[in-house]
Amino acid sequence: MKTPTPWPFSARWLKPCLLFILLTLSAWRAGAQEVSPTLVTNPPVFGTFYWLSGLPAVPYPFDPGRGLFPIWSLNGVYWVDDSELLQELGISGSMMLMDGPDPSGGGEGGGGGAIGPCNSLTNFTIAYMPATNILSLGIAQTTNPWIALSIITTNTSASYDLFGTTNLAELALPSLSRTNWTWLTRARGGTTNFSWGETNWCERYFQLGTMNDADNDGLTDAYETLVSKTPTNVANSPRTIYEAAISNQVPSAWFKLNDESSNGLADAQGGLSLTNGGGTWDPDAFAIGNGGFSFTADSARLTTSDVISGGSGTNQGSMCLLFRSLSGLATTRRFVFWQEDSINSNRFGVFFEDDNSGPFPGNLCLQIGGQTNVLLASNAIVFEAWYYLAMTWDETRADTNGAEVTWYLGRVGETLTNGTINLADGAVVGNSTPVYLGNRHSADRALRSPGNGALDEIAFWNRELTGTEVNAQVDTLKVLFQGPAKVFDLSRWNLLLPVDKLNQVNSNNTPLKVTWMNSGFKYVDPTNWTQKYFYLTNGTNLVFDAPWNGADTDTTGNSARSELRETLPNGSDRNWLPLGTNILEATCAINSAGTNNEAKVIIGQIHSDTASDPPVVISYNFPAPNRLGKVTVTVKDSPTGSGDLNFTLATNVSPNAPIDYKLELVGTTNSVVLTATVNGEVADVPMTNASWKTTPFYFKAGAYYPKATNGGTAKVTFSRLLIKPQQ
Amino acid sequence: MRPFVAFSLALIEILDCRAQGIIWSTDRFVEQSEVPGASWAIAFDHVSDPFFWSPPTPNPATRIFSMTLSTNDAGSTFFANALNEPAFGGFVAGLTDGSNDFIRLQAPGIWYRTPEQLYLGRSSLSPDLAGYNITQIGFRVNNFYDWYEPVEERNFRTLNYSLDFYGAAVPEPSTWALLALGGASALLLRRKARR
Repeated sequence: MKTPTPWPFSARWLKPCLLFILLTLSAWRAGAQEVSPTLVTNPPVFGTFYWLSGLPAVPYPFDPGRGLFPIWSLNGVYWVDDSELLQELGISGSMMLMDGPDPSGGGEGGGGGAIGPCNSLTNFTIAYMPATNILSLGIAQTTNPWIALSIITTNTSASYDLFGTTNLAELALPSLSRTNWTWLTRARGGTTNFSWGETNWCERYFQLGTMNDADNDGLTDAYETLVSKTPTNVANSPRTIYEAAISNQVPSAWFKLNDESSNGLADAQGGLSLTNGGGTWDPDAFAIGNGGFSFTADSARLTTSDVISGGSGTNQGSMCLLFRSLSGLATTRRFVFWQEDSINSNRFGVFFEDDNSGPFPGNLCLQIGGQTNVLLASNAIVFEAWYYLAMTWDETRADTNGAEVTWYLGRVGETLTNGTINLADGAVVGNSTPVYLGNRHSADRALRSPGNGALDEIAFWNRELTGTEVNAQVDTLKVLFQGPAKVFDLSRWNLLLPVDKLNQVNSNNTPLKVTWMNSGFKYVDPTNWTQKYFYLTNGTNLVFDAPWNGADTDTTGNSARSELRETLPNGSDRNWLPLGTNILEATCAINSAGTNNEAKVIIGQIHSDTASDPPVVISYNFPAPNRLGKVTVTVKDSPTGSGDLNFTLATNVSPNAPIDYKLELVGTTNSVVLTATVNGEVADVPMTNASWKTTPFYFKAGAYYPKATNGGTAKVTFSRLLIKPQQ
Repeated sequence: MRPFVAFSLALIEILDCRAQGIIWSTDRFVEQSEVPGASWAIAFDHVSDPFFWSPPTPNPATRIFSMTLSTNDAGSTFFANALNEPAFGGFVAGLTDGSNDFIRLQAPGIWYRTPEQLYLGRSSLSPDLAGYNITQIGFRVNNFYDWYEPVEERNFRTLNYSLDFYGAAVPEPSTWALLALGGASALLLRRKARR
């Protein structure tokens, strides 16, 4: 006799039991994530947090990348959310860190687990301000002389800005004003360790901001809310941002060199006498997209009265300016500014020493107090790059109290270097004679001659600015220069833009060439202050954009481009013979290919100046009749002939779909072979013409709109771009 | 009774594996500039060694379907097997070695070299046809035609083709073991019945 199977193992109960267990498990897992179904179905909201519960992935936590973003931790310790009630946490100011990496034992709002002092932090607050795209963190530290903030994300491509203040009141929610926030740095995903300040007792508060930039002026909403105090929905001039920092420090004289009312010097002089000593100058050289020239004649200079606070032995003073030199070294000194005096020790100025005489040939020098000091060696000068220079001094300072003069110098967008100059007893800074800007007192030794140069935003103070004040000026420049080179290695590229040197979009004009992208150059349209043609999007991807009528290398109206050209690390053109392996690799997406996406866009080239046409071109187009997006490669038969071979490596490639490509030129003494790869498909093309072996090549990449008759714009976004020089 | 059932199932599976038919098929295209009407000298081969692609040279051990193709061949199917292609065995050996090597199509001026996984549309865990006993390959010319592209202002040619792989799956060792077990059981049962 068969024994009855006990419940629940009988066949009758088995299925319901299994179903019950499965449902229970499912419900338990869902509950563990503490995710509101309503929020999950909504778009990600910046700054919301979810209890991590030790799970590997949690949807929609703090989201600088504006996408799914699993984990954030602070000093290796997770924090928790409270269903968007984070403002309460911020106000509470209570300890919200949990001591230990696994908060699963705790409840929401930090109300559980092992809560207590963590890493010697004595205070930690968190505030959520959804309207401004800002997450606020506050950390007060008393036991160590510095604060180290460690932010960890599992999304290694996301970007966020880090802001700081030392003012506790700044942590208050938007109902209170915020005044003293500083942009500290832009960080990218992965792990960012950041330390700020070093004092015996420091209190530092941080806020994180996303890359959201509603007005596309290159200034994030968070930056505009916290630091520049400019509208987030109106594109703002970089000039305005920088000038605001200067204005806050109340200079005694200030030559903005603007032309805001089209009144020339009347606008530029800022109320003081300023005369144009000859030649022409274009105003606002820095702000108009770096394309303007100043001091375009040998004799050109601007002259003003003695605005330099110094010369008596009892003065304090400061000055700062922006300058650049547009071409190589000269055979005579070229002066950035100068104050002449019959007594050598009273002369004061900055100049590029001539390159063939003197103790410092070609160097950037500062003459002060009878000394000539090198600020920048000739081989370190980056021509065409904008530099920031500031000097502060106190003529009365005794030697026992430090040097009288401090100087600060750096390319805009980069970190300043600084140094001090200890003047001899009785030495003074400058004198009481007029100040010449862009030239010296008499000779034609303008910053221009023989190359071109530019000056902008020259300000003077009759007090000694602090290092903090100087850095506050520079920080505004840094945030303006968070261009593609901050993410991509562009040390081996220069750039052709679809605008001419006066920022005009005109296919009859020669395009503007930018060779100093490492400062973080991005193009900002001076007519409306929005980012165009070459910039970062979401802080991570590089955008190339070329309108159909853009400036044109051969002024024929058919080659508008925003395109990089391979260089050596020193910025000069690199041209390589095909021996070994040279590789260009990229991942990009076509955002626009002319009107109705029906035009051809070249996204990479192996070019040669000695060939009649580009030897190798990879392009995206929509050939008739079916208009399916294709990625094709064209290879010339010979350097000078007209024949070529065109083949398709990918089809049905939609706009915005990723294109992963690689151009690899492999040369030996016997052969030259192109290997082209697109989305995994490979083609080996023997370049059999013997002339290829002696042809110098170089790479290009970006958006090149070769037949712009279709109208519209060619826009390409790169998420990866690298060259591997000869191996 | 149960050994008999297992034996029968194993037998059926083995018979099924030995059955000849298309076990895998892949549709491909080649598109490049060309003078209208010109014929193409083409060939397929299998390569795993970079030696064969810089500069590209034929791999004689795996080279099949070496032929001249014209637009009139559209709609035709050509077959390669051990009897008519000396390198058929080499091609199949590479195709079934379990590694993600390359299948190449030599066209005028270009060697199209595609990883097997992508070429065959398979998974990364099983990138090629390892586990199959391939006895014949069909080269189906689905379409081969010239066309004019007005933006580029030039003529192109497109070859749409399929490679059909005929053969059978090689039985798993467990299947052979099951077959052996079933056979042994049958023998034992038979002996038991006789006693």
